[in-house]
Amino acid sequence: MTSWLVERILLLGTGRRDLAESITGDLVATGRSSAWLLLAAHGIAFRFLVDRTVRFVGRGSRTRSNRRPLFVNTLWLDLRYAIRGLRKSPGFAAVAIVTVALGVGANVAIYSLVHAIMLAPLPYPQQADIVRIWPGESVTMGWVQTFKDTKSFTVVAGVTGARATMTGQGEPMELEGGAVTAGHFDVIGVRPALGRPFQPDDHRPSAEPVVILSHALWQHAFGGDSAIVGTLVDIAEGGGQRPRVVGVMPTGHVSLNEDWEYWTPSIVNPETDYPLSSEGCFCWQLIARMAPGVSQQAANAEVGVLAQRIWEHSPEDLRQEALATAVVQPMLDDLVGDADTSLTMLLGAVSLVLLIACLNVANLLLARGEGRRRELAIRSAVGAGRARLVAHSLFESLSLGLAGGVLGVGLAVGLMRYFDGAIADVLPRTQGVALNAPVLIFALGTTLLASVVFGLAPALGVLRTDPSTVLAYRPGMSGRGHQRVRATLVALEVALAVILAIGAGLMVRTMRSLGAVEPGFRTEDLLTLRLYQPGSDYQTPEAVDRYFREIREQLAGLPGVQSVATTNSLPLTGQGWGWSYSVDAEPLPEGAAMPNARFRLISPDYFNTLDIPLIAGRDITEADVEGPDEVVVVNQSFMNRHFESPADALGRSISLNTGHSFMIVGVVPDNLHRSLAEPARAEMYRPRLFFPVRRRYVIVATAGDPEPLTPMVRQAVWDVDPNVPILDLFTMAGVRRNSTRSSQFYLEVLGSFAVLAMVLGMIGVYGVLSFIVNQSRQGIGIRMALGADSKRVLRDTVAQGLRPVILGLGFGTAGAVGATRVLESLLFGVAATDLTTFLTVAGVILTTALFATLIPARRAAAVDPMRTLRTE
Amino acid sequence: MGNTKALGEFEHLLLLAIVRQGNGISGAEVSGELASKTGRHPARGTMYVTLDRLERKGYLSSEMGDPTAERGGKAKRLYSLTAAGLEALKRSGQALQAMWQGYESLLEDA
Repeated sequence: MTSWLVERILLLGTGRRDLAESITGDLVATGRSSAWLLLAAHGIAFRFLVDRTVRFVGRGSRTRSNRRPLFVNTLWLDLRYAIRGLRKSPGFAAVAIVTVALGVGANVAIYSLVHAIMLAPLPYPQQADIVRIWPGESVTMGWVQTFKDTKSFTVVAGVTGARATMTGQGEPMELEGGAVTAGHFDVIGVRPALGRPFQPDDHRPSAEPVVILSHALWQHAFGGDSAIVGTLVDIAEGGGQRPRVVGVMPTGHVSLNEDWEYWTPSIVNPETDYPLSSEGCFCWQLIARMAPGVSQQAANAEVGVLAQRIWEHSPEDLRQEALATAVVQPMLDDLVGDADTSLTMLLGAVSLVLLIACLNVANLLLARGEGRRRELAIRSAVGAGRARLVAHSLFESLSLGLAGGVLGVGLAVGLMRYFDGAIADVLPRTQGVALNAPVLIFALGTTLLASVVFGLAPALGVLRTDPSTVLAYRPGMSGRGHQRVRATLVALEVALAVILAIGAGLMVRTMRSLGAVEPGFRTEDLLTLRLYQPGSDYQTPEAVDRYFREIREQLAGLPGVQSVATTNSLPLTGQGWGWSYSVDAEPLPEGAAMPNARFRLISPDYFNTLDIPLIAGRDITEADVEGPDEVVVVNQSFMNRHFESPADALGRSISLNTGHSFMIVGVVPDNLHRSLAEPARAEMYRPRLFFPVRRRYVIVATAGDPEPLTPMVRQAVWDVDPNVPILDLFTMAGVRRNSTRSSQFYLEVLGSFAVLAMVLGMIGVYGVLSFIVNQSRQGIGIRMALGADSKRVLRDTVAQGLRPVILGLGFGTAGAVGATRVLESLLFGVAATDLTTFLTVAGVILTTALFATLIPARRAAAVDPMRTLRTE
Repeated sequence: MGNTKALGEFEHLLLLAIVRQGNGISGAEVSGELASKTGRHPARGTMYVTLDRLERKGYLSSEMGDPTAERGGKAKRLYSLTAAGLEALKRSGQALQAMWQGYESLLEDA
């Protein structure tokens, strides 16, 4: 593509096919074709812009070019001339270039996110046909079957994420991966590069366990050895036989959900065609390929009808939520999720920053033009055509833009590095964030656009210059109209800065609100760690429970430890299982979905460790773990769903669709288990499960700061079993902070944009007022000579400087009322039109503007009337 | 070809580069030779324009070579000196030599 474009451009320039081909070859061979293309594109765009303007302005002037071919060499002559001019005032050039660079850099960095996340297609053949079916909830495996009979899709598959530990290849490693049903590889349309996809037999319960590896895992763990296919590997999802590798996915293949490193087949009961393991678990996602000719509306309608049937007999809250969200949507949209709102918001914010930067540079150029009117007049008087002068002015702007753009791309690379660490948990599809061709083209476009925006006013200024009046020009006689243009630019800058600052202010309030949320459990003085017990001595649920009981006893014995509990899903990490159930074994109509609720495996002392009080009934005890498996504790939402009062709930029975039944022995208040910003849901707390849960979080309540206990805790864990890896070790306060990472990210980005905008705006305020003061020294001198005191001069000058600020404040506030609406989905605990935020921002802007005007105003007040008058 | 005009300095250098490198050399190679012997890095456009002019004057002939993979499948134009080119080079060289005669000592510390 690059070389094709290069050749086209050269052909256009030289008119010689052979030369064009030859030079293209040279460029390709030396690896410089992309760089050349970038320069040439700039050159052509520059030339086009300049030619157009010159032709427009100079109708009939002698500089009108006789349609020279677009040859890039001539560009450099013009550019060199402009650069020579800029080098004479390096301070001005540096400020302008850095300003442009900040604007362009921030835009390119944000665009790199937009491109990778929203625009880049999924790496699958006919990716637009791949959809996600969301019937209102994650689904149980049985539903894959239900949806297979639909007309809208050619193939439907289920996927569910899991984790496995790999041993035998150096350090034990935790792998991300998961199980897929038959049809998965048909949906994504990608086959393993080595070996084979799963076959129907792989899904039988009696089948030998098999696994497919990602290309990356194959490379770094197995050295890219193609003999790996057919061998047994030590990848364990939880005990059991070692799986045999049957395939390796191709390089560059990215899994749909996460960075999966392995795939296993779901195991299906041959009698019912339903999967055996985790049958009732609401942990499967449905993916499908659209049938040809079926519209998305049709598919949505079909899924909607199915969902109606499935949820018909569910509790009201569940049914409404499910039906409201049931949808079929393109996989890409699904993966992007609501990130597009936040990204559009960021893109909007960052373009405001660029606009402010442009206004600022325009202002600088205007001031500079003012100082050079004499030079222009002389050049004009000795015969330089107007068109020539305008072209020169444009080239100057374009060279500034180009230099700023190049620097900006460098800056963007730095910003992208910051994003790399900050966004992985905040935004989807971030692996593709890179400085690639589309991003560079965007950089080019932005730079050119910016150059035109800030180059326009000065170029028009040159146009309006009349040599006869200018030669009579003396400093200090700058036109009022000119000042008005600059004041308007400043007012605009302030208005945009106000919008950004209000956005940032709202994010600050959001972070405050999140910080003030009472989650319903303790988050201070808690240490959490995640343990994985892979040992072959622990094959049964009871054996694994025993191991974790020993851990609890060992840790509880440490000095400074108050209590210890374990659970399968830590609060505020967004994890958890859903499970379907029925109350008092009420039978459900055929085909109807059972209600489901979050399901948590907890140990005795869990509520105590997290300071969660009991509303009614009793806590889970050691006897519940060891003795007969028959109890469950539910939360308030669950109780509200089925019972009149807590007392009414106690003693009732809950049956899972696996056939297990339990009695409700306790009710606890709702707490924000999933996230600080989401309302509580119905939950069940169980002391035991019927399969071994090898990964659990241990929560240790300490008497003070938990950090110093860390080494002792590690040692205690290894005293019980030295082969158990400690996967994550955090304080609960850290987990809480981590759960607000995305708000923190948006706060940081918007905050830095706002600060940048305000600094640029204040530079504008300061610059314009200083200029005015310098220009009107004489007038001030006369006023003071006539008796005005310096206080009055100070006041008047400040008032003059603040006028555009107040104007900008008004426009900015009005703009913000509309603009902050895009922020709404990111806000928590604060309205998009929060009065406090608006007032605070207005206050901050006015105060900083006051400082910015005070410096030039004091200079004005210090004018010595005698001296000024004498210099004239 | 009957063109008796003297060669420009740059033209002279280009023709010499082709003599030194042998016939059938590409523009890039001419450029490389020039860079290594004189330290000059002419712009690519200047290079090709001059080569083109020399060809039009009949001092050079050229043909397209075979495309290669490392050039992105692009062929390159290969230049060879013609008899007229050699003649012109000789003439220019002789003129230069004639002018230098007796002043070679200037070269020593130049």
